[in-house]
Amino acid sequence: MSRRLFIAYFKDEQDIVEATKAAGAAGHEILDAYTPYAVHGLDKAMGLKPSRLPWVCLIFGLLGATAKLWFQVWTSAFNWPVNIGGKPLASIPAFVPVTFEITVLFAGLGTVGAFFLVSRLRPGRKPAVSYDRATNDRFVLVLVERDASFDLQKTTDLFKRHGCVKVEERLEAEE
Amino acid sequence: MAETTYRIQAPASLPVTTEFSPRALRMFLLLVLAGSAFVVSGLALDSPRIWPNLLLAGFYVVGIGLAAGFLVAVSYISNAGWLTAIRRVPEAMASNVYVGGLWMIMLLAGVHSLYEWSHTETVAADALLQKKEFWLNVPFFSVRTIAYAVLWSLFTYLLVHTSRLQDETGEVTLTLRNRAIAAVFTVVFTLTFWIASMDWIMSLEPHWYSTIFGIYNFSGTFTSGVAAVTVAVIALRRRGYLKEFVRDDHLHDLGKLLFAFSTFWMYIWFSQYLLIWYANIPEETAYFLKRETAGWGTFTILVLLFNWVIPFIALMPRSAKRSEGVLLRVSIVVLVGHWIDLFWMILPTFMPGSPSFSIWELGPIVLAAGLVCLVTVRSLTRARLIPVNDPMLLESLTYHS
Amino acid sequence: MSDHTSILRSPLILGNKSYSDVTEDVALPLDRSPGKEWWMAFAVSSSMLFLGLAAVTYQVMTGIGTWGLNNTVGWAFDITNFVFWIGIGHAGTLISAILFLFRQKWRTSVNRSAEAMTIFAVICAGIFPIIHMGRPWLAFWVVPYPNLRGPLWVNFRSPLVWDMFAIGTYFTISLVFWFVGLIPDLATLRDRTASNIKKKFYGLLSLGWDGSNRTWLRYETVYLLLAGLATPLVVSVHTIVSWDFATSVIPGWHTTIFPPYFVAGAVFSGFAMVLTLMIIARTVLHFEEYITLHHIESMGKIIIATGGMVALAYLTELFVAMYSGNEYERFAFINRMFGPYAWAYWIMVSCNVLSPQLLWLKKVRTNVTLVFLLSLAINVGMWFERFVIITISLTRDYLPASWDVYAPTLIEIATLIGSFGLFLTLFLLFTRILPMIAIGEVKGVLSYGRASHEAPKAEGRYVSAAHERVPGGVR
Repeated sequence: MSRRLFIAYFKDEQDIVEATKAAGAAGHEILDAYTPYAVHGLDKAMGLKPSRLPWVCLIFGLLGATAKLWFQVWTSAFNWPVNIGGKPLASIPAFVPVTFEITVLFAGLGTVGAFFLVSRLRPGRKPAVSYDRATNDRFVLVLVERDASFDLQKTTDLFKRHGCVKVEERLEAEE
Repeated sequence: MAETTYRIQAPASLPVTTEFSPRALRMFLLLVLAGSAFVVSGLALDSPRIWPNLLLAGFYVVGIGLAAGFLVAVSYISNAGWLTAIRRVPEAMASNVYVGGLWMIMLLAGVHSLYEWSHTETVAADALLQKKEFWLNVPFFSVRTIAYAVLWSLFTYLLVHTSRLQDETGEVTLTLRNRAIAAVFTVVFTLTFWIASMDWIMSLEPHWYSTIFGIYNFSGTFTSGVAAVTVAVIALRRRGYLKEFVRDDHLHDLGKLLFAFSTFWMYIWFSQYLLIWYANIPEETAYFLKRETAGWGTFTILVLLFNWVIPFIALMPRSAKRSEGVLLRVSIVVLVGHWIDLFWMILPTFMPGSPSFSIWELGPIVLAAGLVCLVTVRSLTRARLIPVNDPMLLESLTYHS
Repeated sequence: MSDHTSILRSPLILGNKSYSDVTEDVALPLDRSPGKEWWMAFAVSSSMLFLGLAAVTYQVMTGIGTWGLNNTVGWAFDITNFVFWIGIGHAGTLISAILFLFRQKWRTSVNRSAEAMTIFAVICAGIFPIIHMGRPWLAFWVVPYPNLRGPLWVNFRSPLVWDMFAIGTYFTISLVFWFVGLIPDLATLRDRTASNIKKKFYGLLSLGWDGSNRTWLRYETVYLLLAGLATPLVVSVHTIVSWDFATSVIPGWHTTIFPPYFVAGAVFSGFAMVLTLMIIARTVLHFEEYITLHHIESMGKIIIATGGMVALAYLTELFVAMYSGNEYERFAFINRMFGPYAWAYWIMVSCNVLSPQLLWLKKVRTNVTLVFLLSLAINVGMWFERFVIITISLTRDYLPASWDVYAPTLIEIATLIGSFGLFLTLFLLFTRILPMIAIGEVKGVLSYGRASHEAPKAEGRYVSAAHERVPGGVR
C-alpha cells in the first residue's frame, strides 16, 4: 500500500497557521507540519493534544527523591552508622540538599530520555522525511490524500489563498 | 474579541463611586468597628495578650500594602505587560500602606509591653543589650518606625497617583515616569523593609540575630500580597467587575507567581533553619529550640504546610493555576499561612512552652480584615478599574500565558 | 505571546532580517576559515592553558605544599577560584531558564553563548576541588559506591558531599539543556552545509531532527520542564556552595544570609562575564544586529538589580555584625575593612558596589566601551569578594595565637591563569564549530516589535494604542 501526500509550502508563520485551520475545517487529514522553529498556535490548529511528558518528569522526580532519601538514611543510619559531629545518624535536614539534586537529575534526564524515545531521535539517525528549506525558512504543511474525493485543484486554491508559495505531491510507501 | 473588549473598555460615563454596593462597604465598616471594640476591650482586659497580636496584624496589613506596591513597581521596571489589565487591584491594595503604617506608629504606645529592650532596668542588667543600645532604644526606634511609614506612603502615593493620572491624560511619558519612580521605590523598599522587619519582629528576642531575617520576611510578605491580590481579582471577577478583562491567562500568571514565591519562601525558611541547626551555636539555636519543643513543634509543621506544602502540590498542574476555584482556595490557604507564620515568629516570646489560643487573637484579625477590605474597596472606587490609557493595556488584554 | 504588542516594545533583531538571513548570518562564521584575530586569541589562550597545565602537573607531583596554605589558612586561592568560576557558570542557566520563564524575549540572542559559557565555567570550577585533593586520581572516592572498606559510605551530612552532587547535577543538566536547545540548529546546519564532513558531524548530533511539529510540541514541553527544573537547580548550586562555608562556626563564614547572597553574587558575576564575552563577540563576529544595544542595556539593568542585592547583603552582614553585639562577629568585619587585607575589601566594594551604580545612567548603559570596562571591573570585584570571604575570615579567627597571613605562590597564580586559558580556549573552539546564536529561537522573535515600532508619534509624544481604538475615545 502506498499513500499520496499533498505538500504545501508557506513563507510565513501566520500563513501556515491560518492554512492549517482552513484545511482542518475543510475536513482534510493533516499528517504533520514541518517548521524551522516552534510556531505557537500551530499545535492547536493541527488539533494536537498536549504532551504527556510532564507526567514522566513528575514520576522520575519522585523516583529520584524517594530513592536518594532512602539511600542516605540507609547508608548513614543502618548500613554503617558513624557518629559525626554529634549529628543524628538520620539527619533529615542534612539529607535535603542531595535529595533535591538527585530529584532534579532524575527528572531532567528522564524527561529528555523519554522525549528522545517518543520522538525517535537518536545519534546518527537520518531525518525520516526531508522538505526543501523546512529547517531554514519554509513552513511546510503535509496532508494525506485519503481517497478519490481529494480535489487537487480545490485544495491548491485553498492554500494559495493563504499565501502558499509552492505545492507538491509525493507518493509515500506505507508499511 | 477585540470589538467587545473595546466597548466595555470605555466606562467613561460610569460614575465610579457607585461601583460597589453600599451594603458591602457598610459590612466592612462594621467589621472595622467590631474589631476596634474588640481590641479596645482586649487592651483593658488582657493587654499582654493583645499587644503581640496587634503587632502581628499591623505588620500583616502594612505588608499586604507593601507587597502590592512592590508588585506594581516590579511590573513597571520589568516591562511586564500582562499585569496591566489587573494592575488597579494591587494599586488599590497598596493603600493599605497608609493605614498599616499608621497602625505601626500607634503601636509605639505599646513598646514597653512588647520589647524587652525598652525597659532600662532590663538593659542595665544585661551586658549584651547594653551593646545593642545604640540601635535598640525607644526614641530611635520610634523615629525609624515613623520614617518607614512616611517613606513607604510617599512612594505608594506617587506610584498610584501617576498611574491614575494616565487615565486622564493618556500620555505615555507617565509610564516612563512611573518606571523611574518604581526603580527608586524598589531601592528604598529593599533598604528599609529588612531593617523594619528586624526592628519590629526580630528585636522581640533581642539576643538572637539572623542576617537572612529581612529576606525571610520579604518572601512571606510578598507571597501573601500576591495571594491577597489573587483573592481580590477573583472576587471582583465573580461579581462581574473585571470579567471581560481578566482571562484565565492572568490567573495563570498570578498562580505562577504564587507558586514561585511560596517555593522561594520555603527556600529561605530552610536556609535559615539548616544553617542554625547545623552550626548549633547556642545563642542562635535558642530561637529554633523554642519553636521545636512542646506544642510549638506541631505549630512549626503547620507553618510549612500552609505556606509551602499545600500551595506547592495544589498549584503544580497547569490546569490548577488556571482554575478560579483552586487558585482562590490556595490563596486563602496562603493568607492563613502567613498569619500562622507571623504568629510563629512573634508569639513564642510571649508564651514559651506551648501555643495557646484565646478569644483575643480574634480582635486584631477582625480589625485587620475589615480594614484591608474597606481600604482596598474604597481605593478601587477612586479610579477606573482598568488603566484605560496604559500603553501596555492591549498587550495585557490579548496575551497568552 | 500576545496578539498585540505595545508601542513601548522595540524590535529585538535589527536590520529587517528574513528567516534565511538569520541562518546565513549565524552560520557564516562557521564556514569562513578563522581570521587572524581568532588565531591570535587562540595562541594566547592556549599558552595560558599550557602554563596552567604545567603548574598543576608540578603541584600534583610535588604536593599541596607548593601552595601558600598554612595551618591557619587551609582554604584560600583555589577555593576562591572554584567559587568564582561556579558563579560565572550561573548566568547561562539564568538566561536560558529564568528569563525564559519570565518571558524576557531578548534572551534568545545571548542564551546559546551564555549556556556554553556556563558549561565551560563549571569545567574550570570542577578542577580546583579535584586538584586540592592532592591525589586527584582518587577523586572518585567522593562518590558513594559499594566498596570493600565496609562498605564505608561517604558522609551525607557533609556539605562537601552535597557540593559534589550539586556540581555534578548542575553540569549534567546544563549540558543536556544546552544540547536539547542545539538540536534544531544543528539540523539547520546539516541541511545547509555543502561539506561532507560537516554534514556527517551535524547529522550525527542533530539526531535526525526534521522539524516535525509533533516533535516541536514535545520539544517545547521538554524545554519548559527543563527550565522549570534548572531554575531551582541553579539556585541550589550556589546555595550549597555557600553552605560549604556557612555551616561552619567561623565568623564571616557562618551567617544565615549566605545562600541568597551567594546566588545573587553568582548571577551578578555571571552576567558581567556574559557581557564581557558578548561585547567581544558582537564586535569581532559582527553580530551587532543580533546582540543589540537593547540587549546590552537589558543585561546592564540586571547587573544593577543583582549588584543591588549583593550590596544589600554586604550591608546586612555589616549591620548585623554590629547589631549582634558579638565581639567575634564585629571583629571579623573590622578586620576585613581595616586589617592587613583591607585593600582587597575596598577593591571589592569599589568594583561591586560603587562601579555598577554608573549603569543607572542610560548614557553609560548604551556606551558599549564603558559597559565592557564595567563588566571587567565586576569580574575582578567578584573574584575579590570570594577572596575576602574565604581567606580573610580564616587568617584571623577566634584564637589570636593562631593568626597567620596568606599569600599565593606563583604556582597558584599560574593555575588561575591556566583556568582562564581553559575557559577561553573552549569558548574559542565553540565559536568555530557550533552556532553561537540560537537560530531557531531568534527566528521565533524575528518579527517581534516590528509593527508596533512604526506606531504613530504625535508631537513627540506617543498616543496610546488602546486610546485610539476605543470607539469615540476614552474621555
